Amino acid sequence: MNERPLILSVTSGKGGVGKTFATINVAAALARTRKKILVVDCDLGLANIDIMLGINPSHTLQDVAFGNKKLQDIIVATAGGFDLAPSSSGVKDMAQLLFEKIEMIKSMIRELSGYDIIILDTGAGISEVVLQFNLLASKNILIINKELTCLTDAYSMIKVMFQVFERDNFSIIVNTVASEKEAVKIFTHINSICRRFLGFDLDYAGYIIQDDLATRSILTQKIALLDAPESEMARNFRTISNNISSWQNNHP
Amino acid sequence: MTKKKKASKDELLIRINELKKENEHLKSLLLTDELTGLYNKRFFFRQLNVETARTKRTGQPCTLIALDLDDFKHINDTLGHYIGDQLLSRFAGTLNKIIRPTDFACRFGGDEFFIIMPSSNLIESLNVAKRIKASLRNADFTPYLTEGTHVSVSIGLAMYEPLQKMTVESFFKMADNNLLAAKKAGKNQIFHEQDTNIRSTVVNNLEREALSTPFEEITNKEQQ
Repeated sequence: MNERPLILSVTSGKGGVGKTFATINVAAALARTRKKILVVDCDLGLANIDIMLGINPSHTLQDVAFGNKKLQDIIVATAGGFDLAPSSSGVKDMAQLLFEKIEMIKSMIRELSGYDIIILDTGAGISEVVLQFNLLASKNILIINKELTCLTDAYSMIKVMFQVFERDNFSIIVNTVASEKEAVKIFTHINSICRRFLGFDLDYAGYIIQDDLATRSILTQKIALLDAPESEMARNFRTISNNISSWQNNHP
Repeated sequence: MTKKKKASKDELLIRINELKKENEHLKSLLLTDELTGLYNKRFFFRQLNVETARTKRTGQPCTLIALDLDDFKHINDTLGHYIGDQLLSRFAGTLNKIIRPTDFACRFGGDEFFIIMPSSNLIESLNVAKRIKASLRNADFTPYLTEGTHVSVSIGLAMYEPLQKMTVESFFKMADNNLLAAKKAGKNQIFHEQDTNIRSTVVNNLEREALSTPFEEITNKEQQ
């Protein structure tokens, strides 16, 4: 186990592209390889990992922000085999946390030990809070699909992160595709635009096939990967997990 | 009295120069803020019109930063207006150091400030806003405030784009509303437009066109 956990963020630019669904399944796939994984629900305005997993946490990141709890104390184990630092949903004011509080949460995450990988599930959009959590991660995983609005928002996110913060370490997961061929096409498309206008290449982490399994597992609060381990979707998540593991090995 | 001698040419020149200086002085009084030396509200609206007109002509967007020191009334009320004024001057000095030479920092009165940033996009003004916030965080106001006390600022941003068909008023209001939103959300933060607007401002037309090119076309090109 590395002394310092690899910190990744899962982000999207646009909402509703399956960011959280991807996060918990990838985390579960990584956990299956005997890695210690922590998912932090950084979507402070509209947290929903707890809902997706059917957990009713007694303490959340909001308690940490207000100094009532330590980050370690709110972490719960999940059915997916990974740990979760939950957030409260529906607390509208939380989306615009004071800068100092974000900094505090960030440094607490940075100081956590005992994990191989920490995955930050950010909120949608390009708000200051989302950017801050993306900055904490050494690599940003962007979930995209083939919709133009989604591609444009993902590109906006990449451009802001690059131009404002000089970040160029992004990995792409293409969600809701009919085939791997389609995923590669979409990836090639957005990558060519990044190369042309920003001057760097993106990394390809994998794809997630379109399947009703996604909707079903969200409705039943189950983890698709564990619920249907033989499905193509589960295989997709295992592939993504393998790719992420290879980054960890290169992690200093 | 008709006999009064005509002033010599030299005397006239001197008088003209005096008048010119006086004019300059009056002009500066008219357009600058006495306390801070920044531009005043009158200058601000004049320049805002100039810059939005320029944007329409050149197509280069310009941005506006609205700033308001947090809980400044409390400082005035507890420490007195002299110290309040000193802080305002110091803050104005900081603004002048951070902005680009082409930007216009204006004091609106009280603890409200606006910065016009010609030829800039939201990314650039967000950067400036962040630097202003950070400078306050690190600023040492010890002669005036008790050690370790900090002054914070709430900031609203807006961008004027020629294609958006925005009026000067709505441009100004957008920055001001974002500032109000930042205040309401608990102060000491930066608000800009909605994310959807950020999208339209971050991504330029060339990029947008490239993004919307059908994938088929791209793969075909790559095969050639």
